[in-house]
Amino acid sequence: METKFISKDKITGLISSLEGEIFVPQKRENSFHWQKYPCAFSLEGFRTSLPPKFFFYSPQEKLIEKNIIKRAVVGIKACDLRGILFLRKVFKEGDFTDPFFRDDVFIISSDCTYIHENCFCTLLGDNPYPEKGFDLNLSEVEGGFLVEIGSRKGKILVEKKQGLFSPASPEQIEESRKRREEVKNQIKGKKIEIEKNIEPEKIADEIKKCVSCSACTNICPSCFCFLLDEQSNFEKVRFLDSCQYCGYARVAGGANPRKELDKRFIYRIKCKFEYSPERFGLRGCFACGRCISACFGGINFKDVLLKLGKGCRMCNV
Amino acid sequence: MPLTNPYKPIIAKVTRVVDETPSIKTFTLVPEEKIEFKTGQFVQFTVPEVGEAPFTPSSSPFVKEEMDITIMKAGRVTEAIHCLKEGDIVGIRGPLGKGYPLEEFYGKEVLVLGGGVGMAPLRSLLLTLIAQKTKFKRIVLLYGARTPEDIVYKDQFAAWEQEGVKIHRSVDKGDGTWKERVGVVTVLFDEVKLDNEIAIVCGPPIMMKFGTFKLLEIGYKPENIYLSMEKNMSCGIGKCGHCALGPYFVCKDGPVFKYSEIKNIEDIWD
Ligand SMILES: Cc1cc2nc3c(=O)[nH]c(=O)nc-3n(C[C@H](O)[C@H](O)[C@H](O)COP(=O)(O)OP(=O)(O)OC[C@H]3O[C@@H](n4cnc5c(N)ncnc54)[C@H](O)[C@@H]3O)c2cc1C
Ligand code: SF4
Ligand code: SF4
Ligand code: FES
Repeated sequence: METKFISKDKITGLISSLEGEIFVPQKRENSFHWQKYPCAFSLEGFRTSLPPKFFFYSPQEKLIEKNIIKRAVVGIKACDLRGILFLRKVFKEGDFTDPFFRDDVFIISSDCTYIHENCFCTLLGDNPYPEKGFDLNLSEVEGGFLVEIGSRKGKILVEKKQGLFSPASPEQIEESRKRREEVKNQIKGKKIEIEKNIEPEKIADEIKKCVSCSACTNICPSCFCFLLDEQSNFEKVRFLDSCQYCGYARVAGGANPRKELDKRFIYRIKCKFEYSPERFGLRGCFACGRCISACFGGINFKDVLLKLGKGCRMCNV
Repeated sequence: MPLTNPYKPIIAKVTRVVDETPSIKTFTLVPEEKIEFKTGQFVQFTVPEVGEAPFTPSSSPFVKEEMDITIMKAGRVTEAIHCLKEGDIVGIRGPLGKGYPLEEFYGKEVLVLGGGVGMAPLRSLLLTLIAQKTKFKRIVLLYGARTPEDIVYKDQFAAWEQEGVKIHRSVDKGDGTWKERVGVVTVLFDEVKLDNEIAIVCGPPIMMKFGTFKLLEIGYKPENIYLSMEKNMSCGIGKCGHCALGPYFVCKDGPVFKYSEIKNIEDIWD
């Protein structure tokens, strides 16, 4: 599809033309936080501190019919967009569809322009720029952004707001390609390939540090586990849950396949790297590195994966 | 927004409660909308303000107006269910999961191996097999319970026997009146000559484990042993993650698995 160009001064015009409630990343020192627009916003840098998944479903909500207002999210980065695609598979595909997961949110994604120290998307073979799953994507170039159209909804908006855009020049497209390459090269390290038969001994020292707090799963852009609570009138409330809690898989009579800390820790890795590809055709980790910053025990998930990965440990450094 | 809400149960009325054992009751429910299920599929039983728990209907799938569910008191939700009386209103979500692949059993000897309340889904299965009994070479039931008092469906075995089901029973601990075998259910294997074709197992984890090992030992093939896997459940529709068994979600890929499908997964018996 044809790529457009939008100059920096017109970007608020584009965002203001979105319908309903609009969320944008706001820069505070060296991190990005979701804010309701209108407000100061920034499309530079890397993913926000909290994932955007809760714009698509709620971590705690009553599962009954309700009125919803239109919603748009701007500035979702590549890893998080993959997380949304993953969640869409979980909630929307299969014999049953979850009507409370929203697939009507308008998504304007954007390229990463520099990385967070914990980012490792390229080590998993992913790119730090969106490739699919957006309505529009913005790639920063001199004086503005290239605009890629990713859906019919996106196309309609661009047509409606024609005056904001001009055709992108071959030079601008080349510039964007170069910038993308540069960001890719900022992430250093050995490729991570997790084999099927994980050897827990390799990470025994790391597992010991886990306190089963669930910070890692709550903050993950693709973790989806939840628990239903029964209210009156046959109405249910959904709560976030975590496979890292000891009681998560316990059954009546006390049997529990993952009573031990190490089994839960390994399950999380297998869920993301072994089971999710089988269940949903997609890996369940998108290398955003948030679980590293969130971990109470100071476990570096990237290092854990590197230790478990194929090949020589010494070369990982 | 009009929507199909898979979390919303169908309202059902409790019309009969039968005490099977001191800790097991069978509830007959009449749902407001017909619930058609295949034998082996399960439902989520909803008690308002208390919670939900998964159970396999124990009645024949050919009976469509009502559904029997046999429930052992085991914790919070099942305790609340045991307090229900005729006329109480509850909810049912389902049918969920996959049923037994009956066509794969045609022409073969079907061994049904049950323990304790695990007899619930097996009763539904037996009634289904009996309804088309000419399609199977033979139906054999081996059933074990802790004590004679703990046997469910006490008055129904005779009728199944009359329909041609070959039945052997054991209890872990006998009493003065018990004339059948004493010992764990696997002792029954020396009472019957089997063709080692199809085996269906449902019971407490320990019985499933040793039952499966025994079947393998006497020559059943892993792909012909069908196991009902019990895992913690919440949504029942493959969304919440609770019932994971390796790459499977028991609620949508099971609850019945061939042993060959799961034998390489760690901790399947826990
Ligand atoms: C597919 C399937 C079919 C079943 N069929 C029967 C049946 O026909 N008859 C019968 O008596 N029992 C059956 N069970 C077991 C029954 O579901 C549990 O005994 C029941 O969930 C215990 O709930 P509780 O609240 O009383 O126990 P608690 O220990 O208080 O459990 C609290 C919660 O944990 C979860 N949970 C606990 N134990 C189990 C478990 N064993 N399986 C799944 N989730 C659990 C549930 O969400 C439950 O609400 C079946 C289980 C499964 C998975
Ligand atoms: S992990 Fe990759 S895509 Fe995500 S914020 Fe970091 S650089 Fe961007
Ligand atoms: S597991 Fe950690 S690094 Fe991977 S997507 Fe989740 S939060 Fe990000
Ligand atoms: S019970 Fe929720 S995924 Fe199986």
